[in-house]
Amino acid sequence: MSMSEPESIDIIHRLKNHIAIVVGYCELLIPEFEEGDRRRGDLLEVHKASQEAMALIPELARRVREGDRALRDE
Amino acid sequence: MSVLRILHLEDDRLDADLVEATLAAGGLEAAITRVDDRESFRAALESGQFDVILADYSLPRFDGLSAQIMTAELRPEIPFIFLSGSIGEELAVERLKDGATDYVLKDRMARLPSAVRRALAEAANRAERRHAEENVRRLNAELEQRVALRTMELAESQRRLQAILDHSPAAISMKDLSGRYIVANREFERVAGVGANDLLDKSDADLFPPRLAVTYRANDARVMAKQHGLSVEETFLLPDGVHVYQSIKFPVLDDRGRPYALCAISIDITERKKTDDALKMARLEAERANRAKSEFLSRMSHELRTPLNAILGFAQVLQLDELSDEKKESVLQILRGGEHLLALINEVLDIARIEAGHLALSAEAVDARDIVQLAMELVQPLAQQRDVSLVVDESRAADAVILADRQRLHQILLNLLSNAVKYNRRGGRVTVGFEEVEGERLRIVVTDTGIGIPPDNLERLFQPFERLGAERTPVEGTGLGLAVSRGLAEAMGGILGVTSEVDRGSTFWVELALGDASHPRPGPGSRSRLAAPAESRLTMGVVLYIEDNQSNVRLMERVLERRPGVRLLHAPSGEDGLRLARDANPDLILLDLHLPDMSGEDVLLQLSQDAALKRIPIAILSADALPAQTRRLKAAGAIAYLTKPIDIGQVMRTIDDSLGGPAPGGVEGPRPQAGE
Repeated sequence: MSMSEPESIDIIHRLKNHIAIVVGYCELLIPEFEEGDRRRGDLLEVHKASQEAMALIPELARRVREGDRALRDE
Repeated sequence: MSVLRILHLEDDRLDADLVEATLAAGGLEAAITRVDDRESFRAALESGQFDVILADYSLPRFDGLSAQIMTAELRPEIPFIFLSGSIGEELAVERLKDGATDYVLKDRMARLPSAVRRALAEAANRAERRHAEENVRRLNAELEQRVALRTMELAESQRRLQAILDHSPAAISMKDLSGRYIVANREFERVAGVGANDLLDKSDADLFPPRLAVTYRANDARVMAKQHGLSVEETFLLPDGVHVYQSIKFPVLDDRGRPYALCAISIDITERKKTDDALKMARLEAERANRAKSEFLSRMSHELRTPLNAILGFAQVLQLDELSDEKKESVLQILRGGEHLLALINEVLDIARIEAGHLALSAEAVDARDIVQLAMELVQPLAQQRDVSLVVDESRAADAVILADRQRLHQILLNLLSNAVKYNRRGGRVTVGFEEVEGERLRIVVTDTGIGIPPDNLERLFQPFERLGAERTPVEGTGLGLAVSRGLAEAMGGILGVTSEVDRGSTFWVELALGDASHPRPGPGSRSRLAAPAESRLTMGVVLYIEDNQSNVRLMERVLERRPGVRLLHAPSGEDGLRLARDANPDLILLDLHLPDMSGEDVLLQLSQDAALKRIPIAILSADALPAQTRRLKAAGAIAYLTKPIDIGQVMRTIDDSLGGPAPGGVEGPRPQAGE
């Protein structure tokens, strides 16, 4: 049941896909609500959080690559 | 005494008669053979057996001197006595020096018997001595022959032993007690880099580098001190580099059990060591890779849970608002995206935990029917959506109490049921049944009427990320569910299996040990967990939320807008939380575990040890969901342990339960499940 490097990369890919869906629907919905509408505020929170999650992905990918390279170099 | 046989060299018959008479008078009976010339004397010597020879010195045709010389040549063992009337003293002494036994003058014939007796005695002594000497010579010869034979045998044995030693791949040597080599085979000579002649009588210090020689001697000393064999690793410097040998060293004992030498048999294990080292390195690398992977998964989980909490939390809040159908669908997509993220993270973490053997399980006697019912209810909306009917067949479930971790069994059944629905055909059916196996185990069987799976693909189903092409279909999933489910079943001592028939459907089953039916524990979940909190209830009170993440605080504010009677206080740190708890005396504290100044656990302990505050109920809100931590914090006084991303319904129920009476029911539903 072990997870290989390609599988780690696959996980990252899937994470990005799911986050992208959240970001996409947020960006579709936000213009539908007026400024000051609390629902708009909720969507902005979701959007901000999904952007934060997306920003973590390159860092995670980098760590996976670095971990694998470090192992290969030893 | 027997008759003496005498050879008498005498020409005068009267003298011969006188001799015979004298001997007889002296008590010696004799058979005398008289001769008087050279030929007859020689013939008598060569043919006859005589005890003594009596010889006149001067004869007409022969002489005593010649007779003495002839006797010394032919029969030297026979005593020779001169019997003469003319031999003078001087001549007689000279004859005696040349080997004559005695001499008797004819005018003193009376001495003859005693002279004969003495001569015979001396001859007997000589014969005995000669016989003894011959025996000694013979024995010596035999001994020498035996020694030669044994020497030959020993040499042969030594050659055989040396041949064996020399053809042995091991380096074999023996040292005396002073540490000098007394035996070595060719391999040892090769290792030492010297020939046989250069090795014997040398010490380690003479043959090897000082540091190595010291090590060998130290090992030898250990063997001799303990007086028994020892297996040690020793290194030798060979022309192609350092080699590692496994040396078996033991004392060699004499027949009295005392050590007189030390033997060493050394085998080159350099290649094996290299292989071992390579395997060790590979194992370390694998462990490092596993650690790196676990760290990656752990980081991924923790770092993503904070934004995921906001995504799922605010999406749930939005779902509770009035929205057009189109907007509701978009919000549902956001929720699904978040749910899939959460499912992926949880399943990957489960795989990592199963793999590392770190899966925490809490086995108890549970009624499998309750867990099945709970899972069926959760899957029901998905089944309705896909026009799949769900059926439970309890006809063969006389005893359905099994030993299992309730939460993990629920997870397995939810996975099997949601797969059975998702991979079914429209209008199909999913049946859950129970079968007792050998009176010791219960098999929970989930059968669908889907498209089935070809036999070649059955085992691949349980490989992580293996979706058998489903990724190209609208059916959603992480590809981890069955791998996790099988790992969970096995971790509970059970089995998860499958049979399938293409175009007819599949049957998945999980088999676990039967438990004590008299002690099934009621589950914490079941239907009540799904009951929605009231939309508008008159919950009144003050809730203190100790949390440093502003997004989470804002989410809680939005959640509590549905409880107008509840006032929310916020503390961004542990210290602020403790101060505010003392100042405001809230009715409920919601406590995050990861605070900037101190751990939430410390805050919980300080609150529970403060007489004025310990009555305040505390609910933990954390991204960590480790069972051991949950148990510890509940034991420390927490009334609930809520995991992030939060389930708004669950949070509301906790608040309602703490601040007011039971909820009468309402429109707030649970968060949609992944796959719905």
